[in-house]
Amino acid sequence: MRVAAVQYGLAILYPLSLVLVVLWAASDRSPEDPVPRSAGAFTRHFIAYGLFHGDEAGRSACARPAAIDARLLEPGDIIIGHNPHGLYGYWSHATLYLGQDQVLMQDITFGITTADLGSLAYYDEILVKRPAAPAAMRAQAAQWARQLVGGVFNLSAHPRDLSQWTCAKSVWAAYREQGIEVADGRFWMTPDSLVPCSGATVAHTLGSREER
Amino acid sequence: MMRISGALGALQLAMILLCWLLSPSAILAWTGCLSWCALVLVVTWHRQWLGGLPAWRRWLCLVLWQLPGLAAGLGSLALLAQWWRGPSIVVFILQGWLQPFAPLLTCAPHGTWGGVAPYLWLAAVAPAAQVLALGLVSLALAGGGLSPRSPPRQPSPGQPQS
Repeated sequence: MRVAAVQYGLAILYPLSLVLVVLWAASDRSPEDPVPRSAGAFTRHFIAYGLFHGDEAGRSACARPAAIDARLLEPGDIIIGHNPHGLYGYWSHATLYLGQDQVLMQDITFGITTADLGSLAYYDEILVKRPAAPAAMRAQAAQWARQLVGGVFNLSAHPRDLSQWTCAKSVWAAYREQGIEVADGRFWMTPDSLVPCSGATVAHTLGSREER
Repeated sequence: MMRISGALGALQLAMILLCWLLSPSAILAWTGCLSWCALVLVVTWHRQWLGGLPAWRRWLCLVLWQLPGLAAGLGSLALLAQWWRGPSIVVFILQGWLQPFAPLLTCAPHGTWGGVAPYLWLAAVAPAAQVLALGLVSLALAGGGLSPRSPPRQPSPGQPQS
């Protein structure tokens, strides 16, 4: 009898909790840019955007996307891309240049792989940052990142769970292994959190919107 | 039956949250994963949970319990195999649903199967595999159950046996 009462309680709690989460997310009024920094507000914004605008993510608004000249790049450079429908801030993707025209590719439907630099050619805007560290250390960060290939990409993973990755977390971890902090310390690590990292801006290219 | 599948769904939600909180520590993440596996087996056997239902209702209960995972798994499978060009949020939901099994998924072989990381294929079929495995376990143990049943009454000495 007591077990049945607990089961009834849980069975009611289940749909109720899902409805409450959706209502909580639906009442989000925070702007798309800049996204909220606090853990709770960002979670709410992320759920709301994923539920109600998730199908727009990844769509470029550019007729001719931004391109990067590989000759400017060195292994370990942080490449950050913007598309207008990114789920979690102005900058929607971050990756590392691995050298020889290769970048680390982190994608929810492919996992973690490597890809040609040309695979980044669907962003409207690209920013390349070079952390303030010796070239050998940056190359080591790129080398470390290669071991993530085949690993689990999971956007909902805990930010300190180092067995599952997001794009920004993999970049942060590659440099953290070298003793270099490149993120700004917010709980949910996003590409935006890598932009203020100390170091030089190697390139900042824009796609062409005028041709649309 | 709805009561039991709903209660199991609520338990899974609670476990998703707990395992997410434990995930920064590998040892705690594995403890959470193994605890969830043990709990799932217990509710499959126990007479006051799935063990007390007729076989077909057990299957139905398992399917209802895993319905969010099955739907997200089917969507993910269609997305990965490029049969469907839907939103990738289905993979996100699937990974959330499978959070208690996350340590197992990180053990998936590296490389690619059909251009996709193997853990994604495994995750997509995991809810269906779970229903199948638990259904078969439950059938194999049909008639049993972890909670003690009343033993058959023994005739007291001197009492005439029918």
